[in-house]
Amino acid sequence: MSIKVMIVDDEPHVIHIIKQYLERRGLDVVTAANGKYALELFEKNRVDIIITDVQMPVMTGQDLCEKLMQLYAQDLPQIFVMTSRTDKQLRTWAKLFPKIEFLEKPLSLRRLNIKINEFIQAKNHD
Amino acid sequence: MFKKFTRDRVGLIMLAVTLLAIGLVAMMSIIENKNKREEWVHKDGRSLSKTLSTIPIEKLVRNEQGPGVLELLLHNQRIDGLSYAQLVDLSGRLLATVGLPGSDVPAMQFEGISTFGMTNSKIISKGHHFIEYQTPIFSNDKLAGYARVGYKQPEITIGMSDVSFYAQMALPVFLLMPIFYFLFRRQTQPLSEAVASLQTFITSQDSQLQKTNNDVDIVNNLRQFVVDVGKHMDELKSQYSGAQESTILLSYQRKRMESVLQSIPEAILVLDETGVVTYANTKLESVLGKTFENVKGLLPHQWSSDAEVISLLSKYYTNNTHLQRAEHVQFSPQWQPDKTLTASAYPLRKASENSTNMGTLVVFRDMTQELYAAGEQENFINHVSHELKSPINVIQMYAETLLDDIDGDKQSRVESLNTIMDETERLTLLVTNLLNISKMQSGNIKLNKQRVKLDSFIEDCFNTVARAAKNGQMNFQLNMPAALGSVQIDKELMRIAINNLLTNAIKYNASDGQVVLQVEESDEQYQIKITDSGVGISEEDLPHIFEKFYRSNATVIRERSGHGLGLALSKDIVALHHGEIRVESVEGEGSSFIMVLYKKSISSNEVMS
Repeated sequence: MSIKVMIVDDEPHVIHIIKQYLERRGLDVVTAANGKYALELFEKNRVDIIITDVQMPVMTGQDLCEKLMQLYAQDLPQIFVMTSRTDKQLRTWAKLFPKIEFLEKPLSLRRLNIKINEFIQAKNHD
Repeated sequence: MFKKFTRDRVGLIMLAVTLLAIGLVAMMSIIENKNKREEWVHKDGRSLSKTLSTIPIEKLVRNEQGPGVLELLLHNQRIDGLSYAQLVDLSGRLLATVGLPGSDVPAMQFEGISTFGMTNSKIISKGHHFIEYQTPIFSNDKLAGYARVGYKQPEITIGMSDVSFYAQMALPVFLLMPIFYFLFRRQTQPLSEAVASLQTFITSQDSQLQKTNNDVDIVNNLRQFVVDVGKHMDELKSQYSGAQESTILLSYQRKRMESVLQSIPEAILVLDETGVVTYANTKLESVLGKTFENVKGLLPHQWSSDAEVISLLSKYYTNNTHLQRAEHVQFSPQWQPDKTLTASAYPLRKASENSTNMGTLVVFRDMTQELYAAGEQENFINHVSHELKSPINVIQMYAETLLDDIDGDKQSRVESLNTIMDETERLTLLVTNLLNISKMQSGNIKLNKQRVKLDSFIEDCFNTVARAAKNGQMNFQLNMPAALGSVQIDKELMRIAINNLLTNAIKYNASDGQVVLQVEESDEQYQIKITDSGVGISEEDLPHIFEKFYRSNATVIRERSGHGLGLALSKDIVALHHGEIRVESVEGEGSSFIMVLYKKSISSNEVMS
């Protein structure tokens, strides 16, 4: 069974490169330009991993996480938040969500790869 | 018969007219008399209260050495109409009160006297009309309380007795007039002759006067007397005008002081040592929603519902603290909770001595705008750091991919490299714009004006942008008269201004849209108009688009990257060339940005500063 990933970012280049990278690894990838689209997409397509930016128009990554928590608390995907904002506030906020991990910006695709490997191992272990 | 009747009638008419005239005169004299009495009361009241304020409080009240000045006042029969006098300390406690039997002393009304000195006011108490004069009194140079003196207000009294008196007086006066007149003329005949001869006597020179020593003595004494009286009169006059002058000067200084306080942009409030408001300028109304009338004579908790203000001010007048340093507090007033104000309290002291507390100055400042600006600044920094990091993020990822995939297919490598190039350009443009904006903001920018052929310059700007966008299906048009002549402009800056407008026209356009640059020339100006067929600007956004860092919340705008600096920068650049920029737009149909450059400001034969 293949792993499904959703990439949420308002920057087309970022989406493109991550998508290309993950597809080469053999993962299923869907994309969304902001939190609102991501939420709509998730309803139809339950992905295993969401990789999201924070600062986005219409609905931010933070709002997206909160909505997901509200709507799918029992069935939450693994969420990777790409952020350069390493401030305390965001860290404190993230403690509310067990399945959130931070990915430092500028994003390293190798680091992302390691994280995804960890996730797959943990999943297979279950 | 007829004659007699006529004579009678004439007599009656004359009598009636005379009585009427006398009646009118009597009325006028009554009113005049009342005014005079009132004026006299004013003079007396002012001078009395002025005098009281110069006497130290110890001497005013009764002590071991005998009755105080205040008490003596009432027993002085010469002060007509004085009904009561009272001393009150700063907390409103009575120190001494004296009153004529039967006149109740009305309650004290504060009029802000400790700041601007004496005031007078009309008071009605239990049917009695008083004019009250209030003045601050001092003990060892410190405000110690207030003195009040009340006078009975002069009234117009036309009792029936007065009317009959005037009527009775009228007839004899009328009848006796001619007799008096003739008698007077006969009596004064010799007197006026004597006066005339005395005049010639005085004015003519001594030669005639030396006839007898006796005569000379009399005349000399007379002359001396006249001179003395004249001197005395002059002295009185100069004293009077001196007093007048000092009053005018005082009132002028007071008015000037008030106008200084009025012109201060902040709301100003002055409390005396007891915490009572003695002055407020008109700005108070816009900040706290209260006028001076609403707050005067009141303690903070009586006029303010903001706990922060009450607790701040109470530190300055409660007995045990009397704070000697300034303190500030920030609060949102209850009547306008969306505003943020600061209240600053400064103890009033004399410059020479530190200890003397003369009250408190309170300044209210509306910080809403400043805080908003500070918040905007923070937003901007967050925004800029995001904008800077986004291209770096992309560059990093594509470079990483290139490294990992060094032997990958050529097409994806070219694609990665192109993206890196694009992002680098984006980064450069952002940094350039940022630098220019900050230069403009600090006023540090110097125009490097060069002589330029306007037509080829615009064509060059246009072509550069159009070429870069050629891959798409967008339609570009340049409509320009063949020759536009030379102008003096800063080429680099003007290129940025036009570039920003053109790139916006492309960015906020449909992928198969149209961009038209049109130049029109008139006697005074060049008009450069850039029209697109794009998303347009909503009415809500239209007034703000030239503001720095402003970005619309609309999705169609947010979808496109931008940092809200381009238009602000273009506007600044055009303004530096003394030109104008404006916008016309219909949402969903497109926008036109019109740049107007005046020939007199950029003409090439004029050396600009």
